[in-house]
Amino acid sequence: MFRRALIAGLTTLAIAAPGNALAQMYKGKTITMIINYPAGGPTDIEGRIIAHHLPTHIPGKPNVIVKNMGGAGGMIGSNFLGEIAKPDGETFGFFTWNPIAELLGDPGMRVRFSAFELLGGVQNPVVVYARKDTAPGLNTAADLMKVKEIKTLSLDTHNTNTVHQALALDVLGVKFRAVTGYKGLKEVETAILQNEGQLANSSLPGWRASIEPTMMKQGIVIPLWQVAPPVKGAYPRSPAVPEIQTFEEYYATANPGQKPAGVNYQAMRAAIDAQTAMFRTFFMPPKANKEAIAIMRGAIESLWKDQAFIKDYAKAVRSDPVLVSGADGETIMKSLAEVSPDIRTFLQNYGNNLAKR
Amino acid sequence: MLDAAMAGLIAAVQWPAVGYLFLGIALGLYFGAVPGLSGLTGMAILLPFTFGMDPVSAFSFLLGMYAVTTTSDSVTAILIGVPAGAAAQATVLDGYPMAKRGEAGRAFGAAFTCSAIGGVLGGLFMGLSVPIVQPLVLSFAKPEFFMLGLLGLTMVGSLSGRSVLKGMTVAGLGLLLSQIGYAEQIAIPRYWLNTTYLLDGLPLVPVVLGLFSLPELVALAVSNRSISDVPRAKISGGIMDGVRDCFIHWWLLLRSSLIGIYIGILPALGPTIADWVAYGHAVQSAKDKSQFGKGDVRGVIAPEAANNSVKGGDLVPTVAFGIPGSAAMAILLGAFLIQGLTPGPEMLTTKLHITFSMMWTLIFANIIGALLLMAWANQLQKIVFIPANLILPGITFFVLIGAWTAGNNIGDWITLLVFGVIGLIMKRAGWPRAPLILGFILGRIMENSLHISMQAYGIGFITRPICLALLAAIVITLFYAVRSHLRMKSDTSTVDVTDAEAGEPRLSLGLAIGICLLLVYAIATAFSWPPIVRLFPLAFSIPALLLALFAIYFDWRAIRLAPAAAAWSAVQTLELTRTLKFFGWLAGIVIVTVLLGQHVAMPAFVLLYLLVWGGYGWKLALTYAAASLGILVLLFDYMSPTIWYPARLLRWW
Repeated sequence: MFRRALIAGLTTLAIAAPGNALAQMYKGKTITMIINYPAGGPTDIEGRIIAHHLPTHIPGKPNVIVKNMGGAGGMIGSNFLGEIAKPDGETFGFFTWNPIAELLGDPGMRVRFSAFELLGGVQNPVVVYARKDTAPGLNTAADLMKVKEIKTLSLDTHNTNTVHQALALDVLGVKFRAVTGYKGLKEVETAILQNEGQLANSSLPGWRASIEPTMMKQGIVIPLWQVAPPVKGAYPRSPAVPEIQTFEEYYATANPGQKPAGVNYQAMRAAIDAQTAMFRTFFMPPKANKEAIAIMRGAIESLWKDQAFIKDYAKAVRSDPVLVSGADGETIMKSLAEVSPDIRTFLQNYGNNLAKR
Repeated sequence: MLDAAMAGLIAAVQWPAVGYLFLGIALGLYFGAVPGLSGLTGMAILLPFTFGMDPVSAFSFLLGMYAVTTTSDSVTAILIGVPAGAAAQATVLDGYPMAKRGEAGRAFGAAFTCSAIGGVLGGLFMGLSVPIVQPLVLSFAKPEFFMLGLLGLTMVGSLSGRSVLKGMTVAGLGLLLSQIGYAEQIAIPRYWLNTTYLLDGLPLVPVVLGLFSLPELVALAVSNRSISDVPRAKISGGIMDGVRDCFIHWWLLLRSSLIGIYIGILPALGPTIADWVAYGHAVQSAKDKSQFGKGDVRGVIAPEAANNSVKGGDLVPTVAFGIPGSAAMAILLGAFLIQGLTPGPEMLTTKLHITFSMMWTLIFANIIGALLLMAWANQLQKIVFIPANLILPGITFFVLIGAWTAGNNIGDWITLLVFGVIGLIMKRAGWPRAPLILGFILGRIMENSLHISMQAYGIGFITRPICLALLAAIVITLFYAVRSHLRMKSDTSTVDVTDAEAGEPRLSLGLAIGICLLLVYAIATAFSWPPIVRLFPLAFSIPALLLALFAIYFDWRAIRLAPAAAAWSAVQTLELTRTLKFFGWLAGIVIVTVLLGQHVAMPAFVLLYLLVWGGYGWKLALTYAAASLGILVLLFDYMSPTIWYPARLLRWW
């Protein structure tokens, strides 16, 4: 508690007085930004834009270099940051994390996400879309309820993306066949284009920069709903995709007068809430230098006020980035710890059984 | 369309785009030629520099760089047997033996010329086909990928020479190695030995460097001769001979270029696969296969044409659909986003001139890059005449760096050493190594494709029209492979192909037993996994085990029939001692790295090797060691920042 208060105080100090002695610790240094996915993916593109603009916001203007450590669903990079990188403030990670791995554990996860020092995050909704030519035809999102069976495409069976997608369809009572094992959402997008399956998810950058212009505007797919980040216990439409209805709105239209409820919905929200609330995360190694944490939290908050950064980010992602502060991020991380053992067991079994359905 | 092509040409040659093109080519030649760097690394490093550029300049810069990396990566593949990038792996098989017999110039002439021609053909195809290629890209889904993988496996026969049985066994081993790490279907790790490093599978580059480059390093260290077996005065085959070879074998060059383009168009396949498939095709289609693996220029022409033409193909799905044709194209997609461009219809209508400027960039870069390398080729080929003990520390340095940059993990070096030992044993035992790489590359693609195909279509996927056509191609290929093999068996005048020469029978027997035990372990372990995870490993491990048992029987019989031939000689004992000593040096580098880091271990190796093993003086050794430290700092600390091993006793970074 004291450590958190100290970091909060130091962050305020770092933002307010960037020229002071505390803020000079990075002068002439090189900071390494670890990205836990390979070069070229959405995490990498966003990370590189951040790395390009971040140095001017860190007092002392250090160099920021990017290193991709992809593999094992992001675990190689996060294990490196947790086990090998020195906690001296000169290495931090920009990760796409996997809350389900945090919830259920993972044989490859040697350092839990909750053990890292959280600097901040980026909020993103998830968009669920489907091919319009799915029998008997999807002219509107509501037509999904008339479909006899739909093939859904996703990553491995214990990935947050896969599990929340399947749970959402179970909540709606839509019959589906899960086709899993794709290596990334870009591959899923290709498979949708090839009609290997008809329904899939996308991250916000994937939707805005690729699927919307190349598939939606060509009349190949339509958006069904967005899985919006939680805001004070509710799920209002994300300002990043205000034109797409939320899952809750979709449910209310399909089942007038009702709200989604039950164990499937609880598990779905437990699986996805932390992800949408903080899609990308900035982490420092466990027990990192507290001055460094404060400075970097301040630098990230300052970056989000930089119009040149916002412009470059918005050009690539086609939407303004929404920052999650370090303090808010910690609250999100804590919410994961509060997920009940019953829901955890349910999610574990659900993932195991998905492949057999 | 003609107007757009002309507008693209004008945009590509206008200032500042043309300046960025030349800068890109210069950087591309560098990224391609230094082992451990590659077009992919170059793309990732240069991407942020394009933030402030206009779109044509940005693509001239990035594509100018990317186009020529697979031209310059053949330099080290031919000269020192070290593929600078994954796309030059197959070039080593015949390029290096050519250098060994004093034909490095000829190999360069052939490699650079067909790289340029392949690259130009790829560029032309890209520009002309983007608007019409949609059906081809969209019709190749997972079932077709699986069948294509199966077709690729039929090349095992061609790459195995007389040892088809052993070739098929090691292809099985390659498939098994591809299974290490997380299963694609359920996040259950396979064969990972409780090591995080193995969770994502074995990296390709250290495996290939270990299998092919380390045995050559050992041969150099043991023999202490120069790379070239012939003296400088007797060298044959100049650069122009190589150029001429390309035109003599124009039909192979064209076919290989088309293979590259075709593989490029298919999403997610890239230069790594194109060069092996083209090489396999060259061997498969040749009437006289006797010189493949021993310095056949066709073994250089095919992969080099394909690994450049593949890039034009790669661009097609990237530009037309936003589907990256390879990992480097995924980064190029980032450049599209940074430029505010959207791949897809926009690039074929309102931005068609930008698409055509890419075509011109590819064409110009391939021609200019090849001409620049041709101009340096005479100087470059002198390396093969330097005494082994003088050049060996330098080659070892780059092999280690090449392996390290695969994942910046000490596991990459351990993989390199383990596969170095395996490669050496396979070479001495007369087992073909190329099929192992083929199985390794195709294993994951095939499993993932099969798994998704079965979920999405059921077994009926086989009846899709393209799958049926590929099935027919598999049957025809197998028929010809069997016929060709039977003819080769009966024709005693035919020399064996690839590196599968008659080996030492006892070593061969030992290797067969080792593979057998490994397969038994793999099968036993697989039974503890859910059916969906164990299906693929079992599907090939069981047949591979049977093949390995046959190999044991045949080797055992060979030893019984000719015990004298199997006897161990004094020369072999001496070679073994020197080999073990050399591996001791390599192990020393790893240990010193763990304690003191690479910045101490690698220059120290150079210094001590020259003093102790080479017998050179302090002055030369110190200068060489200082130069190696300089390269480490300049090229790998500053120009392409590398994460080094965090040493236990000393931290460099």
